[in-house]
Amino acid sequence: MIDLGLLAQVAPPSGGLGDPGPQPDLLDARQMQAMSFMFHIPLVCFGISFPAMVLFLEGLWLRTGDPVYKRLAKRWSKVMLIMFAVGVVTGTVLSFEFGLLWPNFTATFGEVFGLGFALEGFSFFIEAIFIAIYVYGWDRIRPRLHFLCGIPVVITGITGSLMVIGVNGWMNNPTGFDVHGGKVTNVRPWEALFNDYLAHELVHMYVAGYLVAGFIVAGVYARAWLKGRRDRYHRVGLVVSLTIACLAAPVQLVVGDWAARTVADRQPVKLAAFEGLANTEKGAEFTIGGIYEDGALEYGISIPKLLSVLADHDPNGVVKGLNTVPKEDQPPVNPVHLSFQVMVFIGTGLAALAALYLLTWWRKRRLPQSKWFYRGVVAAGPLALVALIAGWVTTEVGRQPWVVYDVMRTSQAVTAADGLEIGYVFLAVLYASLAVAVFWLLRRLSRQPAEAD
Amino acid sequence: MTIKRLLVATLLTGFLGVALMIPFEGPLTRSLGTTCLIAFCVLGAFLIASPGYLAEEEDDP
Amino acid sequence: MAEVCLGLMIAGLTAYGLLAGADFGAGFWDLTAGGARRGGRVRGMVKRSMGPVWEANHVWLIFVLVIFWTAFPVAFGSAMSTLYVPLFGAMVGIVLRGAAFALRGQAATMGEARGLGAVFALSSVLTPFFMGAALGGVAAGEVPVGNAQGDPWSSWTSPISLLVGVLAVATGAYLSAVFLAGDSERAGLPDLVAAFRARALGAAVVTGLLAAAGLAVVSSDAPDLFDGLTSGGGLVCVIVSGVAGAATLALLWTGRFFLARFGGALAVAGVTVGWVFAQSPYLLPGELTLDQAAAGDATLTATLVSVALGLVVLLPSLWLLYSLVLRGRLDQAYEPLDQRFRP
Repeated sequence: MIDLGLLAQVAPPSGGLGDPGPQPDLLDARQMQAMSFMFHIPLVCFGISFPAMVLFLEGLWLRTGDPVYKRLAKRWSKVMLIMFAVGVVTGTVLSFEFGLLWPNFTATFGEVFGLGFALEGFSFFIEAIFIAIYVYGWDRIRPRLHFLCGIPVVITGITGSLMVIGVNGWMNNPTGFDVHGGKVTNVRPWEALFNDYLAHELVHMYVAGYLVAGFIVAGVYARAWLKGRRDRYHRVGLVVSLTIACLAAPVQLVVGDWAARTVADRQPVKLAAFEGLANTEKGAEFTIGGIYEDGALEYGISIPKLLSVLADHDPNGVVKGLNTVPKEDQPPVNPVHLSFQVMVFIGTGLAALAALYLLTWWRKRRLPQSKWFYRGVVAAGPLALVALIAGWVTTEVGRQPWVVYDVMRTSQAVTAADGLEIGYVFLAVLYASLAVAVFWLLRRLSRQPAEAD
Repeated sequence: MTIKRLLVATLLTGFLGVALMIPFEGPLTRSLGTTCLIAFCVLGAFLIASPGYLAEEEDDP
Repeated sequence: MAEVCLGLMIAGLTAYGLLAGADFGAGFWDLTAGGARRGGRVRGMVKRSMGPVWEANHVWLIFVLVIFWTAFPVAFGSAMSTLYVPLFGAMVGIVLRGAAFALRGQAATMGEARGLGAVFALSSVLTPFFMGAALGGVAAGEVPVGNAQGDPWSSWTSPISLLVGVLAVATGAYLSAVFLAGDSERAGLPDLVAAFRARALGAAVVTGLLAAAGLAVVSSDAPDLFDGLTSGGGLVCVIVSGVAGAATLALLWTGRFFLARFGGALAVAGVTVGWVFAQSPYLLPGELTLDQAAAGDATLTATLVSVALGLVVLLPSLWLLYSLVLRGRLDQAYEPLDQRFRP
């Protein structure tokens, strides 16, 4: 294991293109990247999990021959195609931004992390091919073969996110290269791709995909449920999506624990930012809420020793503080703390909702009857989305000021071009109109009678 | 597989997953634990969203 | 190995130019199809033809980008940061084109379909123009090595750049008309066959003239590039492209659209491959040779291995998709785009 902290002190790489110099619009560049990412990531969730849900329904149809499953599967596959199409183009934006916003990052480390994207490109390709065959092939390809054509879509949903998350893991846990005299040498691309952050980030994101898509879809049917539309079609739609989301929710807590412990081990400064811990402490407390001011979290509710328990599974464990690194190497605490808490509390709430659903099924073999449960499910979709984005803010802002952790600063990676704020405004308007259009048309689709497919 | 066996398998993988993931940190326990947790979700989906349960009618208004 | 990686990139770029280029061209015909009623038939055919394939076609661009930044990172960073204006334009165009096309299928009123259709069609014209202009900027040697070191405007507004941009639009329109004529024939719609045949012939002539004009501009503005195009491998490619173009005209004239597809494709491929020959050994002309630009051997090997593995899965899948499409197995029922909104 290389000590990367030491490495960075010895030779900070100037990068393939040289330092950009001062970039007054650095924050605009970061915001643009974050905005593009926030728009893309919910679509990724659907890419990860929706094909499996559609296939689950089609499988039920093949087993039972009941047409209600087919109607629903067809309807969902239409939504899947729209989500995929929008995901294709918003994903392309991210690829462009690697060069448009962060040319020095890509020029310096493209040869290290690029392999992941090359493999992702193929996954994406196969996904695009089979999703088209699947959706356009309804009633035109024999049922069993049609079902089989859906399987590559599920697999490439996993492999594609695996590769991209491999790159994100690498940015947090950079390996697979050496730095000599300011130059990146001895590149080992496979080692870079299969870094120590890949596994937990992948599983965490994968489960999140099921949570987000499952609860959003369930929310649509829960709304119909509250309005009294309780026929078979709506019941099946609700039970399938809600069951999947409710099984994923408790699992996510366990996976989140794994992620937190890995961060505590490998990026202690990031973990300190989660909870605004200025100094290294034994038996550190966990603060609910609060604002970080002058080296401490103020106005929050503190629970003694809980942070040590979370990070180390030991009430008297030692948690490293922010001051283990110089001030200029510390991430901004407040956004990281806030988003971390939002993620944790929403995640816990979703797990509680899921427990209610699963226990009702176990004890009574029926759906919960309370209207509040269904109101909760309607809220759960957007909340899961907020938690997802908060989770990504936690890990990405928590990585700052580094783009490649402890090796290259974000300010070294940025473009030297002018006028970033113009691009930012342009892109913001574009995304806002896209969001409105997609939402509008999905709503329209959900109101069409199912027989119209 | 009968419903009963599926229920047992779901609960077993769920508990085993948690038991492997929470106390341990090794790569082996984590890969086994993750596999168990994923199996829990998959088995659970087949258990709950079964054709029999899905075919039930809602009795209350 | 750098040469193999460049070859892959150019193969990807050619595939993108042919397949996605034709999708952009379909947008051109959508734009010029006329009023809501009159253009309904052409637009319906465009929608039906593009539906199953445009996403897969688009992915070639991702393929090119990732090979570019993995195998030639410094050239990638230099080109993207200097040419940020046209590339940002292309990026916005890609978003608008894809989203508007996907959403138009769900439009419920003529007004919505018209609005989304206009966005789709306009961005289908602007995107290839911007991409062509950016490529023209690279070919004309306007991209210095460094972080946004070139001029953000003059780097892509030289006569060569603008001409390549227009040529990209025309090429797409030409290919797309050829493909659409074939699809209309398969759908058994003789009026649309005739309409697209006329468009294909017209576009072929315009594209050929633009290409010839392009050569003239190159000879005065970029003599090195011109020498490359008129000697050795570059010359062979130019000749192949010219012959294939002429042959396609003949095939179109006689109504053999299936063969014309391949003739048209060859004519376009000749130009992209010829361009590579013409500017070899440079990747960024006058600035960075291919060998200087290449990443380390470990990365190139890993890229080639993963591309080889990827192709093993990809090629049969692509074959499956296109064979299903060309045999009409994924064809939806044809309806003019204004059909649903008629009283």
